[in-house]
Amino acid sequence: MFRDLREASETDVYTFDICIVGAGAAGIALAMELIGTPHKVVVLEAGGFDFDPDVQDIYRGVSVGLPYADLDTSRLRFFGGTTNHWAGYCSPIWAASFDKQPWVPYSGWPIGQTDISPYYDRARDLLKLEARGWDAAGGWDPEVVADSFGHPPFELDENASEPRAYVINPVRIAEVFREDIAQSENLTVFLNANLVEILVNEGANTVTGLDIRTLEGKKYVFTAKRYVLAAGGIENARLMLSSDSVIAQGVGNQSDNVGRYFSDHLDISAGSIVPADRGIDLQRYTRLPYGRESEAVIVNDLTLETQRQHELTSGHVRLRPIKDESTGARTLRQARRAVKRDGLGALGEHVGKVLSAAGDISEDAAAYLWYGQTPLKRIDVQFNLDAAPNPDSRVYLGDETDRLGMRRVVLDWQLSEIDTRTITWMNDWIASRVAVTGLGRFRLEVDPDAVLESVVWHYHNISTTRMADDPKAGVVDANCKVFGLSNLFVTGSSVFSTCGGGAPTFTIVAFAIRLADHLKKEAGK
Amino acid sequence: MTSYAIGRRAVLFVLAGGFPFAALSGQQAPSMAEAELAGKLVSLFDGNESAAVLGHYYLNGLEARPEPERLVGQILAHRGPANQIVDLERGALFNRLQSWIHQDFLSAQTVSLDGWVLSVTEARVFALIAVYRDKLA
Repeated sequence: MFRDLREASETDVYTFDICIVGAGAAGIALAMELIGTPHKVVVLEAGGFDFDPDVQDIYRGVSVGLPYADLDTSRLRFFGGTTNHWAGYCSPIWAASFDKQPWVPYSGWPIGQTDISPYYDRARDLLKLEARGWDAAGGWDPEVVADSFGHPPFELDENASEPRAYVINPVRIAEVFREDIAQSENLTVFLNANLVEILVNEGANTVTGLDIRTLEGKKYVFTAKRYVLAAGGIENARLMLSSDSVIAQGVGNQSDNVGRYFSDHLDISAGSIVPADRGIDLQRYTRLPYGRESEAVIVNDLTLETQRQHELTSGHVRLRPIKDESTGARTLRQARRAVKRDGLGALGEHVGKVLSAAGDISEDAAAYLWYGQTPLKRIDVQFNLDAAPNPDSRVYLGDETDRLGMRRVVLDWQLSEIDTRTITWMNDWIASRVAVTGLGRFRLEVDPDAVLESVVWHYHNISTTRMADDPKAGVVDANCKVFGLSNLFVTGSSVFSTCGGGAPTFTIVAFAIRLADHLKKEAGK
Repeated sequence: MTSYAIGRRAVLFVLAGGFPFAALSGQQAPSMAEAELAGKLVSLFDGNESAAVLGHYYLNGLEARPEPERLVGQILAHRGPANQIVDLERGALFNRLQSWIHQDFLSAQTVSLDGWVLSVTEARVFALIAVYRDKLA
């Protein structure tokens, strides 16, 4: 059922078996797994059913490091959380991403892919993702996906890269599961319920309750046997750091790891290719329908051997063929970028004509003959990298307070030398491969002397309460339990030990389902 | 002057003993084989104004404008003497040039022109074309 905390009595006792803070991808997935169990479960959602600027303002913060999205736009504070505007890209984290890579500082997880792969199966069901080609150990088979597209392959570099398939379905889980939650008997979702402090005993080893407020100033205490923070990659850390009544540095922060290792996937518009053959069919690398409800796209991951050989972080390159037509439905960001750089630049036309003449290809004849499709104007090249873990990249509490009296968050986003090296290597690699494969010539948009200026974030807030096998190295253990606290758990992308390959939501849901199984098992003892 | 004429006129100019490199540089003229090869390379891009545009861009980016014979020498460096290449038919010469360009990209022998990553060999060929255009204009 749903309740509005603003209409609840402040003097009532609110006691549950499991208390979940946050109703985004992680919180709702966890709650759905607990519906129908003997456990009395509550979800505390800070917002209502819809966007409210007054509520959203709680997320406002300051960025002092590398340029980053405004913190009150990259996440949403209402029922459904950031899944209310997510793009829907899904792919599991590769097995190798869980392993320690000696050339990547702070890499490695305390678990392996086999610990999470069964939960990807269930996450795929929950997010209503196409089953064809799916295998829990390896994700969607790119050959199966590509075959369904019906377009020929283009081999960029079979030695250095391998295809990966993303399946895309931006399901609005708040809408999909709202009725199930409303009808549930053991689950209550309180809306407009803001956590302001995690209350702990004097020994700071057990959570005794949650101090919950409404924006109007009403105060409540919720108690439970077990507590789960599922408030998002930045907010989970903020809530722990803000809970400083007993321990000045915040709960679970005895090793000063809460808020550190903030990470995101790196989006780099590397440049554009002028194709030698404007009729080449690269449709395999565009976003195309896949199954009844999903779409899919094929990208090229750097192989593990390539990463090892050149000491790179993981990542992929995506080719985006742009047809010689109006900008169509390109995103606002792409359109803005296109205007800014004027397409291919002053020399682009000349490079194209040189290639056409050199290849004895008459201007557009080949393009139109090839399946009769519109000729390509250019092929945009996009890199997506998994930023390396960096303890100096962090969120912490600033001096400014919000309407609840809580200190606002400060983000100091930092990258590492290996990230810069990887971008530079990929620039050189793609320029070479584009020419060697006969695809065309590449125009580099990245300033080689200022590589980080080309980096854009993905709105993925990762690793601020990272999972580790040692309290000195992280915040939660392999079961997502906070080190040093007997009954506090964290879930969501904040527990990722590293960025991992792939967009995070799919893995967030898988981890939430895994935690649900753990809680059920632990509560059953 | 039509753009088609540029390469052809350049070759004729070379074969007639008017190799423009020496005239431009005032230095020792290259061998006839090198001169003829230069003309043939230029003729591969007959009618391609864009090649000259790129060539000028390349030349403008250099600290000092290289002597044309130096460009030829650089293109042929480690690729055998000109007299082993100059007799190639147009198609074979085109394929040979493509092979050189291919090797350039494999060995990171590239230059950047306004961000465009080109093989250093193709950039030098374009520079030769620019030199011819300037001389014949």
